[in-house]
Amino acid sequence: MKKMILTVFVLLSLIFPVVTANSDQIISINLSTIVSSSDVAFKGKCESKEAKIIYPEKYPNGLGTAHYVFLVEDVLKGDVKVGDHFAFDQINETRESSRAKGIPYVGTVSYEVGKVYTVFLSKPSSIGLRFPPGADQSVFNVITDASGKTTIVNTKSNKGLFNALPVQSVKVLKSVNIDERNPPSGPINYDDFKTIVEGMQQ
Amino acid sequence: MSRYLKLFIIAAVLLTVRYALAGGPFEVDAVSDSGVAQQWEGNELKWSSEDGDLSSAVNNATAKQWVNDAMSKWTSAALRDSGLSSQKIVVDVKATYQGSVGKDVNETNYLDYNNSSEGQTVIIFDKGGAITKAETEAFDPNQYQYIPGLTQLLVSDSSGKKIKKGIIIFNGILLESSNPVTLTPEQFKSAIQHETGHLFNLDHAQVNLDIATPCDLGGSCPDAQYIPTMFPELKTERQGTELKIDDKVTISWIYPNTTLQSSFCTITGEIQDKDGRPLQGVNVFARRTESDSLKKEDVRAMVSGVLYPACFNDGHYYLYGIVPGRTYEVMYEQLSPLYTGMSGFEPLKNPPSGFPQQNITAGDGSTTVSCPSGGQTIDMGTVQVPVSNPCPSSSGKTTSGSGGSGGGCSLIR
Repeated sequence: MKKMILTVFVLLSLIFPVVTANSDQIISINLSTIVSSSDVAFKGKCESKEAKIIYPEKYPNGLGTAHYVFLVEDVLKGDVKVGDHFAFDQINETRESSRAKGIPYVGTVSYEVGKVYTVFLSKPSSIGLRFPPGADQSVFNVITDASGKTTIVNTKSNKGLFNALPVQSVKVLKSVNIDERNPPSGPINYDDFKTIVEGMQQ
Repeated sequence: MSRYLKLFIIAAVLLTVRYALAGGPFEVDAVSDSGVAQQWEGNELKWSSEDGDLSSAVNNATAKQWVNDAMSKWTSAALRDSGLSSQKIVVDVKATYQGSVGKDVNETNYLDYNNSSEGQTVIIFDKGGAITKAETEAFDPNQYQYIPGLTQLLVSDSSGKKIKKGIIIFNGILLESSNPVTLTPEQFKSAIQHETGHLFNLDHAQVNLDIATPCDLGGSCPDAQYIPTMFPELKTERQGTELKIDDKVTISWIYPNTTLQSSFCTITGEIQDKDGRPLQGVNVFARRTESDSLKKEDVRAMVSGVLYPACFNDGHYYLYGIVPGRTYEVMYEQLSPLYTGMSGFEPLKNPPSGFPQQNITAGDGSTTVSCPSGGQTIDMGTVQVPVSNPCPSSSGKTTSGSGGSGGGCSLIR
């Protein structure tokens, strides 16, 4: 009898999901960290998004992912070329659905089909998923005004991008006339941004 | 039904895990939807630690001391009442250290504690970040480098009102200079203060957003002393140096003692959408008005409808710790889109937006309120926010009528 009860409780411990309701503070990461933590970075138009469920045998109801294809317009880092249709898979679970599946929640970042972004992506994970370093801190909306001037901005209004940069990166900022002691907040000129990102890789 | 099946069902109920809500409490009663925040069983958080170090420079004893200090701040939360001469303890919860589990918990054995079986609440020191990495790397190979701590409330009782088990994993890699993001010990202690707040069942707070927004961690942050511990982003080490009034008020109303109830007042009301339906997901706060510094210092907030699951038909808010004889203004505002996802606010994943911050006026039209003596409730009635409801009209259950009386009248009772 005792053995049976023990078995029931052991079974239960297997059945009830672990709820990793990641409740933690955002830590801002600077551009130097975004660049060094990314495998590829490009400006491109989101061409398609397709929801996919993978690993149904491993996760309850499977793991929700999104398969994105971007038409690459400009390259900032990595093995990708202008004109490529760059495809990647990214986790596509909400906080609620993550809880229900007992998986850690790492944030939700999505891209709108037809919109142009500058996006930094990690190398593929062990199950082939990529993710922007620091979540939406590494995803920039691209805005082109009537005069053709292009600026980019992330959801944090670019705050913290130039905070506590290494010395080498500070030199790069100076090359585009940005004062690291009083860095700009808000949209930044795309060409300047590209110069900074390329300089940070040298 | 066989006795084993019955046993299985009973055990299933006992071991049900409840999911998190936010903007006040982290977990609420989702069994009977009674609109109460979960509390630790017996108002006592019994926690254990393990034998490992936190980082190459922070040994086990120091890490335990940091956690113990953080726990103590929560369990001794005190507020000044109308006398203002001394602080009075307003919270009734204990944190009791149970000793070590007797081994170094690492990536090979942490699941012994990080599960939904009944058992010990363990604070794990993840030196090198291997546990955090194991938790997150399949979805994002980098993220373990940016997470100082993961907190989970793992098991509640069958009533849905009592927490029985939780866990915190503190990620020591953020204390190593080799990591892309490095925190100072003081910054890490602020993160410990924040995560232990979650373990006591507090969620993120949007208080003094205008002060916090211009701040960068490690950079200049004027008025840093007004950013609460439970703010969703680590902006300054001062967030953990001392608890702010919103932090103290929140822990105290989740675990109230008689002082909170008898020496302070409560402001309550209901938020509705443009069509008159209860509206969840609006941040409501009350702040003192006598001076600019008091406006920043004496603030408490709650997200409307947060005591119920998402799309439950409830838009009530309750603002506790109101000092009798002092003057407060009550405001509503949208939750910041800067904080979504894991560092966001619930109950709604897409809370209502696109409306300005507005004063909630009392029934007589005045823009401030006060109560003459402790133990009273100031009812702000109902206010309609000119915004559509993100929840479909057919969704959700309805509250049984606690809180605001409707009609926009101000009532002290």
